[in-house]
Amino acid sequence: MRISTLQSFNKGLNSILDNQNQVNKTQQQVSSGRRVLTPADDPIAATKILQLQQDAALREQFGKNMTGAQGRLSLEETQLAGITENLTRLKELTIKAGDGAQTLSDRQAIAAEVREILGSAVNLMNSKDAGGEYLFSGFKGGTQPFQQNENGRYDYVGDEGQRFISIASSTTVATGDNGKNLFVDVKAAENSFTTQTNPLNQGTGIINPGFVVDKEAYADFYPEDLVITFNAESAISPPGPNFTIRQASDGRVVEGLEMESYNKGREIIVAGVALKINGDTQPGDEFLVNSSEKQSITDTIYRLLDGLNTLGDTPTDSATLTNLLDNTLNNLAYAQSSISQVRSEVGARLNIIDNTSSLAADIDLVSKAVLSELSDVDFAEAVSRLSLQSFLLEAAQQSYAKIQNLSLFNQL
Amino acid sequence: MGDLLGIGISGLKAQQTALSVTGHNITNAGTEGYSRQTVDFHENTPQFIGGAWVGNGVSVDTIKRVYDEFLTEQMQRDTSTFNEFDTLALNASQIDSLLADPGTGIQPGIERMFGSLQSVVDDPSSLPARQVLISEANGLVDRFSSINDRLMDQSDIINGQMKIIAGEISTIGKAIAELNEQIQFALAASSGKQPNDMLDQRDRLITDLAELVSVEAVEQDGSAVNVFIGNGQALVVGNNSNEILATTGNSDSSRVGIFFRNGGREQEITTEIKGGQLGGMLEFRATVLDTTFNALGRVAMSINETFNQQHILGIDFEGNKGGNFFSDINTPSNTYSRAQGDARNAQPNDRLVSVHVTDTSKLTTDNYRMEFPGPGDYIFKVYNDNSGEEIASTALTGFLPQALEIDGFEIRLEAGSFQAGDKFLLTPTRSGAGNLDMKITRPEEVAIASPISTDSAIGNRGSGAISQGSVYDVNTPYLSSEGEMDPPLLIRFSAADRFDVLDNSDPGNPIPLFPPLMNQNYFPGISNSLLPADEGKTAFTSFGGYLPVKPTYQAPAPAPIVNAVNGFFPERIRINLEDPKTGLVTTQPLLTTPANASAQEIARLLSERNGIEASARTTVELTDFTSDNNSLINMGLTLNGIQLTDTLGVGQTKYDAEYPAVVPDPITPNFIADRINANRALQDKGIIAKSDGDTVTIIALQGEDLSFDVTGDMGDSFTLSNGQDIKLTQTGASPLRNLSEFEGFDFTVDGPYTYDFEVPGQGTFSIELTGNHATGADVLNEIENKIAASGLSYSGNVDAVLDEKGNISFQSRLQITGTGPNGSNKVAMGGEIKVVTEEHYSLDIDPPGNNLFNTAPVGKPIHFGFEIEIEGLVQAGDKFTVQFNKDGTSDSRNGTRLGDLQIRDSINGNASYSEAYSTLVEEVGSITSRAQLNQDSSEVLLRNSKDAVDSASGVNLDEEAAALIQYELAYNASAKVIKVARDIFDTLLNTF
Repeated sequence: MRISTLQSFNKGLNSILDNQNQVNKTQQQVSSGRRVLTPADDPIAATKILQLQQDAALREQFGKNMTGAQGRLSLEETQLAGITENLTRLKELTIKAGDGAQTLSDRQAIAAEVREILGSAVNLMNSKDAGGEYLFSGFKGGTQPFQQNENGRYDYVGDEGQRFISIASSTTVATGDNGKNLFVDVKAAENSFTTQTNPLNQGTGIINPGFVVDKEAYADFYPEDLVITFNAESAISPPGPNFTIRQASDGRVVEGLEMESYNKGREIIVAGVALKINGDTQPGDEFLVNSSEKQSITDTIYRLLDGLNTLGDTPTDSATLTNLLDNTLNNLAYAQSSISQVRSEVGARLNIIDNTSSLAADIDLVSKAVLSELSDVDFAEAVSRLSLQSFLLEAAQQSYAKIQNLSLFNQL
Repeated sequence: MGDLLGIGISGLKAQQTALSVTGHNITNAGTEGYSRQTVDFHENTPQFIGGAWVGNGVSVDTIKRVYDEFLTEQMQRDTSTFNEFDTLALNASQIDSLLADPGTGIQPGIERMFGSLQSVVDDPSSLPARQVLISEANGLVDRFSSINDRLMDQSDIINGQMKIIAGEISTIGKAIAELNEQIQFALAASSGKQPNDMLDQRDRLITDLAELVSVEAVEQDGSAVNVFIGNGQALVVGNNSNEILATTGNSDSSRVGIFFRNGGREQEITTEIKGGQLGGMLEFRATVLDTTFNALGRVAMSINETFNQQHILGIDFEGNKGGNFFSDINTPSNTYSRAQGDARNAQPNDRLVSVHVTDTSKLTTDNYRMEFPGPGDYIFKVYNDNSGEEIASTALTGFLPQALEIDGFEIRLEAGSFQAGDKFLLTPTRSGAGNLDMKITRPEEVAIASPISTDSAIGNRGSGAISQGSVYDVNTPYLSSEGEMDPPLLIRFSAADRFDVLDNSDPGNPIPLFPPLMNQNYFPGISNSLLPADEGKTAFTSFGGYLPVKPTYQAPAPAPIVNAVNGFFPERIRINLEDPKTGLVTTQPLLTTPANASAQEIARLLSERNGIEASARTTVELTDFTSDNNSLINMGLTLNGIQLTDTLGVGQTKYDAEYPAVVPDPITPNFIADRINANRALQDKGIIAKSDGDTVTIIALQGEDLSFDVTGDMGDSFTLSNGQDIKLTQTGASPLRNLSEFEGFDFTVDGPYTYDFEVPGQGTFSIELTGNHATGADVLNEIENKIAASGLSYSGNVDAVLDEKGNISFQSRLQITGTGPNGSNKVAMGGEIKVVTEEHYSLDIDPPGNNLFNTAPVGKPIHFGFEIEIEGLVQAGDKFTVQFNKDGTSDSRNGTRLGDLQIRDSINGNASYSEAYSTLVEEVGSITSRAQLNQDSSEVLLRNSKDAVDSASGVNLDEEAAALIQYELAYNASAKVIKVARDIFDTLLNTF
């Protein structure tokens, strides 16, 4: 074949350029450690790399979530342990107070300690996390969950919210528990009730927790609920504050308490329960009494405190006291079991986190290996390729120089 | 012999020419496109001298170029192909590395934003964490916009390059035409001798042109070359050339198009251009740039819309409803920018077309073309611009605006004179990445909490647990007001397997919702979804039962039995179904309800129709029981043929202990309620009663008529009503203190005391209370009189009630009395019908109508906008509440949902944001990789064909050196011939 001079120049040059290209690329791979420099190098591997990187980022995020959840749950566990200790001490005190040799003044001394324990327990129930959020107030993290009202009783003003956090793409874990579930929704030894002031009320009246004064009457009435409605003052003659009590289910008037005259501070006794309203009432105001078989821990302690302080040594009082102490012991046991149930749940959640975390670590290891296989350069192979390519480049350069020296003109 | 000199000279001249050709070859050894030239010698015509033909020397016949036109053509084609792939690969690799670069790619941005979102979910009350989320979201927006900017730059660069190339093509075309002319002259002047160098120049120009675009060169008459580009557009014909222009395209104003100008006419040939750099650019624009714009836009729009949709379902740190997190994808400027009319559409340019993205999960990455084929066809068609496939063909209604929804977006023809031949380019996703922007700025505005919270009552005896609830629509009446849920709900179990959902605005008196949701089934052991889901269903509620003007008198036997009727007139109901795609409405055959049919019967007839589910319920209130103290004939009451006032003998019992044994005189509401509820026969019919001591409410759950048969003295009576309280709305001044039924009120002070009320089937009425009234009874009288005089039509008496908060409501009540010793009074009440229609169905009432429904009834959505579930065992009396999530600063339920978006398949139902993005990266990577492979292989082909050309036509210097020596020797020899001739001549001269 005839070779023109330009052609032989071009051929030599092209082979040098091609070799340079390859050397350059291999050099880039070696210096960056990456096999796939741009997706065009290996589009399928590039997509897999992107997906694996995203998975890895997700796992890292889930890992952070798990650390956060572990912190919160451990903190909750500590607080609950503290409250359980308080309850154990209260049980001892209750048993001590039941000792027949104790007089009122002895019991009042015990009551002083009970008050301290109540304060300490409420303090734990109102504990905050590092970020200043209340642990046990549900979604209302900015609201102190247990607040003492004018009657001295503690109201739960949080809600039933429970926060969940993702620790794997299809696994979520609760990072806390609300105070209602833990400390309020506790089975009581005897049927009880809760009271509620209608938020639409215009007056300032607040209903107290009340207590059962006639067990049999209340047992007959249970589980019906009551609505106390204040009527216009002119409904009775002479005009004055008056109220009507109806059954919540159908609106029937209870025990003829219709347009019953009322004076501030009067004790209302209906269906075996005694209630008191503090503050002023306005016509149209409503107060609700909801039957319940539960009693909050603070109410249990509060009622114990009240009994120890006020019940004397007369036979009637002694009987009431014995009944109160029995109930209190039962209630404290229920409270402890309510808390320990949640504590075991917390333990289970921590276990789930541990398991998920170790599983994630395993997956991480495998996917890192796959990722490395896909994206990382094999140095031994690349370096030997580089030396081969540079050798070829040198050969091309030298042969080029040699061939270009061959010319007839040199002989002329 | 005299010719020897001439012969020598001829050799001298010929070798000189040959030497200069060799010199020409040597000097042009490096000239691109140069074809080596060779000299053809031929011997001169011999002379017949002395009886023999004597040679007459040599002369140059022609100087030829060594040239193979097939090889050259092959090389030109390969040049076009190589340049096309080279340009494509060069441009594509820029996008390729841009998309995958960790510094500029979208993926790290998505990961960072969701990572910071998770920190907020973990600690929702932390404002710094929320600030970081906003910053990271801004970072993501920046990444989208920087890639978008780079793509725009690339698009601009290509537009500019296309203009330059079009100019070059025109210039080269002109130069070829000029060379054609010169070559023609040269051929003419040299009597057909080839002007080799000019031909080489022309070939080189054609090769240059082939670098820019694929060309076809055809030689004409052995002299001129005609050059065609595209689909046979003649760039050069003989001595004339035409112009190629690059200017704004007809269909797409943001893209430069290629136009062919022939005389005064311009023709767009963008789609016909192939090969060369220009072809490579067009290929890059179509396969890489547009795809990247659209795919990136789709990811951006999907993030934009899905994030916004979830974000507005939450509430922010301050308890306000979440707004859009990113800017709205359908702002007017965005929607108009997605459609552009073709520049060739008929004037005036007044068409207004917008494209609203309705469902980002259905979007494709394609562009679309909308055409109005006409004339005569009143339709428009939509094609997928990438596949050319027809997507939709829709009739023009003739009314604007008209809308058509396809592939996740809605095309709206808004205004203008649409004409046959109009074309529009629709680019739903192209601007998505550029339009992504942040909406919220303050960390408090991030809506991480859910607007609802649920509670179980402390008194619950069952173990039922209520879910936290999940919100899917905040535009329902329940969630549309700011900072509250209106009304809050109470879920109350009336039995272990039945529950009511009630309006809990007043916890002391929960009332049924409208439409009511009562007596629902509950299945212990599974998770029960309590509220209806959003299936597009709407509810229509009928007016309810009418009070007759007076009871029907039943004369004593043997008079024939007369039956009281409920007074319902026939209603003619039309049921329409609208096709969501075409807007076509089909109507079912008219349904005419029989006169006096019970609500149950009407509901049954309606339920037989497609798309309709109707239920009925009859409610009657009895109150004001009186007795004339004449114990001879006490009141007797029969309900639906079952006697309620039967007397039991001493010690006799019926049913069980709940069935009161003694009939009181007068009858009391509690007695009636207790007897009805304990009566098995009535239980079987689904009739129940409830008494509050004053009023007994009787409900037929299946909607059958409630018929009463009343005996007794004329003085024994009660009043009857349909139980629908009509509430008065205060429209004037608010009284200083609540109106009360126990106190007077002076309406002359301040005022005016005006009220409105709406009566089903009659419309709205207004009253004004006036005068000074001393007692509460007078106030009630005033109210009742004004209502009675308001123009409302009613039976019986208006009975108004003032509740403790001073609210006024009334019912009309008909007094029913006994008839004395003979006969009885009968009355029947019809019920209320609730019609629930499937999506796209509607009800219409044929005039005169207004018997059961309004003439144009308006349905209300039956879904609540959120889901609530309860599971576990419940007991009668258990209660659960659903209310606004007040102060829920530690709630992150909506944040969790937002976080779920990271892995949800939001795009095309099968890809998450990142997956869709990596698909784009893969696609561009494949195109780039393919282009690079093609570039490599076409380069080899080009080298080969260049080799072939060079091998034939290229100059080999060694060869030329040899030729130089050869011709020099020949020259020297010729010179020797001349010397010999001179020597001979000298010899001859010296002889003399």
